[in-house]
Amino acid sequence: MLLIPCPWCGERAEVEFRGGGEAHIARPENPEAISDPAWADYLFMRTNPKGWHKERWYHVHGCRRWFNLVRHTLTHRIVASYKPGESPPPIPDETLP
Amino acid sequence: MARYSIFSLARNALSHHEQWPRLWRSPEPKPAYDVIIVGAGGHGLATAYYLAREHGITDVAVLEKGWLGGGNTGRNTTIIRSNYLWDESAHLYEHALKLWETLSQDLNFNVMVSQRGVLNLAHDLHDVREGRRRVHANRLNGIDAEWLTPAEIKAFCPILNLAPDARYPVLGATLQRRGGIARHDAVAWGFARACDTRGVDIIQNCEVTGILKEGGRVIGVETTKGRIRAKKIGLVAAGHSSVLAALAGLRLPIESHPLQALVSEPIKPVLHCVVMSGTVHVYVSQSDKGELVMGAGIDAFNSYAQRGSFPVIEHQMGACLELFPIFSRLAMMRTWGGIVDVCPDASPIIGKTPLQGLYINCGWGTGGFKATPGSGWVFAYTIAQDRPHPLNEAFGLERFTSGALIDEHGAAAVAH
Amino acid sequence: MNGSPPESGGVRVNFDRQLHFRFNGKTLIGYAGDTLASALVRSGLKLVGRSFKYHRPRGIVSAGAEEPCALVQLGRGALSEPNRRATQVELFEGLEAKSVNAWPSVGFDVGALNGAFAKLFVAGFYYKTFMHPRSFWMRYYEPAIRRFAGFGKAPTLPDPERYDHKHVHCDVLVAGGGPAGLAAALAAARSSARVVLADEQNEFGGQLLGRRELIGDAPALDWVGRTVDELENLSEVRLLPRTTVFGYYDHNYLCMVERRTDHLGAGERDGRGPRSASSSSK
Repeated sequence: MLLIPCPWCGERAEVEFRGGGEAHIARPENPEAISDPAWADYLFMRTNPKGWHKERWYHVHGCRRWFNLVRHTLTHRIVASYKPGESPPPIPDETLP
Repeated sequence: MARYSIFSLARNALSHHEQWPRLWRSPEPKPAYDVIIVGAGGHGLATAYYLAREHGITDVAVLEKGWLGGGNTGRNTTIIRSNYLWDESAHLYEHALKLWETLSQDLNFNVMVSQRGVLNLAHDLHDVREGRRRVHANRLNGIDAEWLTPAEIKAFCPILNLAPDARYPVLGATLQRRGGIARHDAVAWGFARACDTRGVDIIQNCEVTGILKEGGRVIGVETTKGRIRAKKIGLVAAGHSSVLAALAGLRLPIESHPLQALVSEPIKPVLHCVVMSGTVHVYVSQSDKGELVMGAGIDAFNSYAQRGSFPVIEHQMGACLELFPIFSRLAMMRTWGGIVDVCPDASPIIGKTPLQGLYINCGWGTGGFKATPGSGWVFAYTIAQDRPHPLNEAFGLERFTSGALIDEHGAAAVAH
Repeated sequence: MNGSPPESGGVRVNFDRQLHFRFNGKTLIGYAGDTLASALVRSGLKLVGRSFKYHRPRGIVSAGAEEPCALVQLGRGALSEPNRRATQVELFEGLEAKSVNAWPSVGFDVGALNGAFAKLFVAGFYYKTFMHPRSFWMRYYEPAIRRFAGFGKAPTLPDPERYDHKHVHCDVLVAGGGPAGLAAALAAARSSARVVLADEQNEFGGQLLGRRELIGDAPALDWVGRTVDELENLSEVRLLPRTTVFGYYDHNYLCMVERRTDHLGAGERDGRGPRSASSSSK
């Protein structure tokens, strides 16, 4: 069971949260003006890395706020959580998952 | 290839079974092949088999980063069925089911296809409507499908809890009698032996680390066993599709999630069909070794770890005991996980990529095992003919740009 | 033999408390502190089971969770349970157990005929045959394979016992209450850490329970007793005997199952609360 550090509530059990997928996917400013492939990329394409992942989580059974995590998708190690609008912290050394 | 039969078994018994030829060779890779298949799971090995058998293409290498069948092929809950909603999916999975029906004889390897019937239970009005709609859709596509009342379910599966005062009582179920289970390991080994016999090189412990391009086409791969050239490369490695696609500079609409499963200790026969419930979420069957095999939904976070969190197992067991109260005192023996590549519409991606010569077969999510022979068959066609077969035409990567998604979350019957 | 107290051994058995139990329909004598296996061994019963495929005769080969052969069907009716290892079953008055995967009896098992075909029925032989004619797989071959497979039987009635789940938080979890685990738990507890000590057996001591070791100049079990006493009296220590730690998950989340009533006879069990509690520890 993952222990997830909510920026407001601290470390809480995974069952209090809902995963929200990859973070920092900006909605295009003017969807009407972009091409279909660009719109498809926004809607569907994902990085899905085997490594450090910046992802969104929602504290549904807690403070009910959205926030971001930096988590490794092979070891599940979490190194940082940060609020929406904050800059993501630097990714740790790639050789040390 | 030594033909398997009761007679060859008896003959070999005389020499203590020491004279059987190996099921497959362990060759070193050649510098070049006509076709490279990346991923020696059921789908990849089936692709190589049908390339050889249907298209006469035998100068093929199947590259496997680990051991063959060690990925999702060895980690699923072995259910096979074709009761999907949309025409495109129904035809594809039904093609697979028809291949399953003669697969043991085709491969001369008993993959233990047991068409014991698959029940999909309905617990509320929405389930009933969805289920009945799917029964009608299946029948219109010539696929066997029935709607059962609770009394009929009781006769078909007597140990199921059909109490009307259950929290989510069973209101009915779809039944596909031709659905059932197959022995997953046998599928990998059977296809491996069959394509090795036809000259295909299966190269294990060989990880693809780069995809080589020239102009707008692929010319080969970089691997941990060196460089191998090929004009045609098929990527079919469930769990690592995004990783491989990224080597070619491609993005996919895929997220990789853990999918857990477990088995009980072996017990005498007690469950004679496959039972799936989307609402009280679990799917259960009993293997021929006597173990109850079960699974439920994915863990909700991206992962390549082949393990998930325990609350998922707890919820699954709660659902199992709600449906089968007599299983409460059984011991669960082993749990494990795989990596499922989940697509936004719960349908696979099978076809060409923008790179000439690079083909992709991925995104089967939680439902790849049942499609194994069909997936290999259409992928082999796509690679051999350099165009999709009518059966997989609708499943190209382009549908995410055109919007022609094929939403099968209902029929997938696995919580996402 | 015949269940009478031995001249040596049986250190953890209380020969003043006799118990009666039934194995394969025969009433036998055991004592408080016995496992089903130790009582069977003392009764002179060597044949308790059959192997999975060839139905070869099997006896008791170990004293704990590692037991591969002495699988029994414990209890009957709604309380029946397949595949319990006789070495892990604490004996209680009125216990009933049967051999599994043997018919009509473990002594005369028709399944042993499989052994005669051992050269044919080698590992994975079923992948090489049972393919023709195609219709025979579901009609004859598979049903036969399924009937031969599996050990015990699932109960046919719903389970009447209650179960519970709780979350436990600690600084140090020690899995295993033998000499090393006890020493570790003690050191952690003395440093004021919150400690959970779990052992699958009914009492702590591990391998010291079955041997006559010395710690210092005194019997090792003296040290065990003193250590358990000290741990019991520390408010930040929780002792969990009869508890198996069965999983180690991400972020130091472990799962355990505590058996609270299995060692009690059916009469004593009623109303004694949940049969087992599964705990999740962080």
